[in-house]
Amino acid sequence: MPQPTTTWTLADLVDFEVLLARDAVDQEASDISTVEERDRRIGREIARQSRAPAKPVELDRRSMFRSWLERRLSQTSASPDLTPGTGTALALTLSSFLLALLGFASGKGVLLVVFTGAGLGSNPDEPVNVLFYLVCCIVPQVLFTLGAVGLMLTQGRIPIRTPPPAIRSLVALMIRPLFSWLLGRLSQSFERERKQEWTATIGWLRGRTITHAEALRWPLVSLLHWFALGYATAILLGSLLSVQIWHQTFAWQTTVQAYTPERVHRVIQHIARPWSWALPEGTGYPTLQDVVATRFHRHQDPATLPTDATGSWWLFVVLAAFTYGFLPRLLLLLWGKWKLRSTLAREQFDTLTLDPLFERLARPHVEWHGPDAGAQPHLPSLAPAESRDPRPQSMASPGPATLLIPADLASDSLHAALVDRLPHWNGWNPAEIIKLDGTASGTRAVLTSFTQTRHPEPHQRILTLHEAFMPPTREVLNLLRDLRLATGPGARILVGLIGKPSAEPLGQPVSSLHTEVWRTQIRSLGDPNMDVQPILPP
Amino acid sequence: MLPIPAIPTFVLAGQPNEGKTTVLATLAEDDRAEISPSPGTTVRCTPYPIELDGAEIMVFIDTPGFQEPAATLEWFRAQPPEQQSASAFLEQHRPINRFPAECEILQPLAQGAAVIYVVDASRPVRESDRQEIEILRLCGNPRIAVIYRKEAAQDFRLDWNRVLARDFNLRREFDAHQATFRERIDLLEAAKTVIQEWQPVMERAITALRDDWDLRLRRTAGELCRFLRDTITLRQRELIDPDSTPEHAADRAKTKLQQAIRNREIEFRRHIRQLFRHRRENWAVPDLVLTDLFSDQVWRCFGLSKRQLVAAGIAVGATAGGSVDLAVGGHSFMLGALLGAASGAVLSWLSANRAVQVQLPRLHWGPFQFGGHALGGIHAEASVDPRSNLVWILIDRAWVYLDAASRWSHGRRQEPIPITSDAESKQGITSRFTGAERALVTRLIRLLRKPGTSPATLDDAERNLRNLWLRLLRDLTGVQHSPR
Repeated sequence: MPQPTTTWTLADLVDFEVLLARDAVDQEASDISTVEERDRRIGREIARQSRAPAKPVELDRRSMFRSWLERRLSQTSASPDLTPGTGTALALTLSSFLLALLGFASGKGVLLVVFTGAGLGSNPDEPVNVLFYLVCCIVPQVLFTLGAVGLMLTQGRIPIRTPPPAIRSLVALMIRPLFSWLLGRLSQSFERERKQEWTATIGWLRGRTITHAEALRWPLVSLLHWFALGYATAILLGSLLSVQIWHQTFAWQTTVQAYTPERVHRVIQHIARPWSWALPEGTGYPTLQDVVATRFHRHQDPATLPTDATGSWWLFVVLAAFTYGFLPRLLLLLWGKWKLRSTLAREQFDTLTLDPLFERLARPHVEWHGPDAGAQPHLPSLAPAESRDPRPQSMASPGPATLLIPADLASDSLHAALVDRLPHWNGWNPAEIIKLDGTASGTRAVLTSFTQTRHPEPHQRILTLHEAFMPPTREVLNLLRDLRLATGPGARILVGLIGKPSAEPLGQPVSSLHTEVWRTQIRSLGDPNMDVQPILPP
Repeated sequence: MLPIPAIPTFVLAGQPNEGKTTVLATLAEDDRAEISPSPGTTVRCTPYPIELDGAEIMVFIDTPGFQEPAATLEWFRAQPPEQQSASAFLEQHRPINRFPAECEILQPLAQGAAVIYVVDASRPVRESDRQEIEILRLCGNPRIAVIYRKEAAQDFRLDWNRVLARDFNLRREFDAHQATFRERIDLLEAAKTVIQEWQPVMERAITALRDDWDLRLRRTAGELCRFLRDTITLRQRELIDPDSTPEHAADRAKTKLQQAIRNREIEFRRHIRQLFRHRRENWAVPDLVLTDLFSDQVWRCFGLSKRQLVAAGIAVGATAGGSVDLAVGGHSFMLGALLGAASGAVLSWLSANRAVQVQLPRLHWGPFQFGGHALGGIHAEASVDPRSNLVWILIDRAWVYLDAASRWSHGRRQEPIPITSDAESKQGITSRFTGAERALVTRLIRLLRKPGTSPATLDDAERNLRNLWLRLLRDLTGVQHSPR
């Protein structure tokens, strides 16, 4: 099983950040758990494929995130070659190429001016002024190299202060009219939502550039080096080509009398130090005699200058272009690339903002599954399908009544309270109290006694006592149905509800919720002579 | 001989409307479960599996209540001992659709599930309860009794414990309406002892639940830091029109910033609800948290006292001034720290009740006045005053919300007791912070407002603050657990 790769490129970094930004938006818009489940799934795949699958948390963050990136890209990208990262890399490559071309063109232009005097009103047949060549082609490159090296070495250690408000205000005053016009035109072109998106994107980009400042610096620096390399290449190739193909001669001239040939020769010696150990005086750079011989004045006839002397400068010129122009550019470019690679190799992805992703990948994901809301079917009616919902006949016919009381509730105080309350409440006089022991056989025995000793009165009154907080189960409803069968259709059956036990024998008042629950179930039986009432209403 | 399921399976049994679904919703942190005061809400067995990385490790099954316990028990007693089993009952009654509710309950029991028998100890024991207990005993499955009270006023626990002691392997009191995470875990810890073969799996499950909880606390700490960070760095700029005054623009900027802070608070709360799996929109929170953030009531009850604010300002000022002393190698004789402390105290005193500061860029040069270094024109910019009480008030309100979110039971469907808002003294957690704890908050605020702070320094400050929140959250929820 191959180890997960830990090599990160700039394209990977860009893709990584884009995917994180998308996840952040998705999490805002929907449930966190969608992203959690997806990432945990990826985390488990990574653990399975690694050589140490037992403990996923031992995989470092670089490997985890790299593997996460690969899987996310394969899931999200229609074309794996065309991701934001690869697009960025392509853009950088194209920009480098274009900048190199631009640099080359610039270098060629500068060389043209130096060699032909174009635009300077010089005689194109005159030899190339070496001092002019050095000042135009070599010195700027040296200065640029020193500046680039200084910038790269300080690496942002020197803080850049913003200019004071007065300066900023002055600048703003000057260019604000143009800016306002531009902003106005842009506002007309873009819709409000698009502008907000851009603002948000720019804000997000700014935040991420701070985090990845190190990694983002080097590609931008490399772009500058590509320009400079193109420039140096043009200078070098142009110089080399002109001495190879055309009879290009070199001399030197200056108005300043202090620049004696000896001084100039000393400067040349210093410049030639890098190669003078291999190509000494006379080869790698001209001798003092050559320097003396090749001093000329403007409008002097070039034919008067000795050919050998004018030709002795060419290697010095080419080597100077190579040593102080091309070579440092190339080295700086390579250094920049190496710095980018080492910065990416050092990146541990241990910032706080990445902790949630690591946790989603590494920590086991616990899920509870339950039913969807509304998945439960409605309560099926416990009554026959043909149940009616008739209005019960009036129960208020006074007379003797039989009380059916569960054995759990039966007590002398309760009996006494019922005897006291019922006549005033509905006119029923408790004539007989039967205890229900709650067993199936006991209930059957009671029902049989009703069947066998049918009350002579056509309107027998029966009160069954129930605790309202105990819901009417199928067993209770079966009892009521069987009671109806046992007593006949004319008997008045009242389901009396009492509340939870209290100091009072009849218990607490019954809540309207409990009453309603019982009423719904009793009505579903469709019995016109059956009703339910709380003995003690709220 | 009952089979033993490979995955720990618990059936919640009991009377209809006893609170089985409430207990389950609380255990599962699932407030989508249909809980209603009307009986018969649950009519089918509903499994609630716990999955660890996609694999089931535990299952809870919600059941409808016993509907015909007397008749069911009569059947059991009529059978010879070897036929007194759930599977025999099912074999006889399922094909003829008799005893449908009992068949639902006994189906998983026939497969060896353990029973969690839920009783409401705010009502007395009744004959039907004894019948159910006897049925479960005859089935022979391992049994745990969970005792809870729907109503606090009534207490019949003594009676229940006496009845349950005979026939249950384990009894546990569990308030499904108030249970914290620790209490939920305690119940599961107790449950794991019923069947020895389940202990390793349940250990893993419980550890995973603890890890998951700790992870949520860490995320909560992260959310709180993110909330503070986003709020402290909020800016609102309003263009000063030529035909309006700077003060109007300042007012507009201030109003918009206040609204942005309110919106950010709402977003924070949404994330917290998601983290603690509160899906119902009618989840109740204390009053003071719902009152407008910028109301006098809230500012009276939350945040630091002026004395505490000044102390915090002194600490910040002294630190800033001390850096100047360090820079000059101590030649200032600590004058920098002293002056810094003094100015910090004064500024904190002045800013205590000011939530938002507005900057109007003006530059005077002799008789001339011009300003607005932004290219877009002159703007009034509103931002959170870092020395004001606002940050502390935000933390206090967030903490009350977190307290409720982390401890609100998912089975609860009642209104909470509101926090009194007429107290004279500060009620928030920040007023009880130690100096070191306050310093962690002020450090982050200072670094966020300081331009050019490196990401590494900010990360460090935020990590320290997160660790504080995490410690407090662990204390709040009573769960001290460090994951593997």
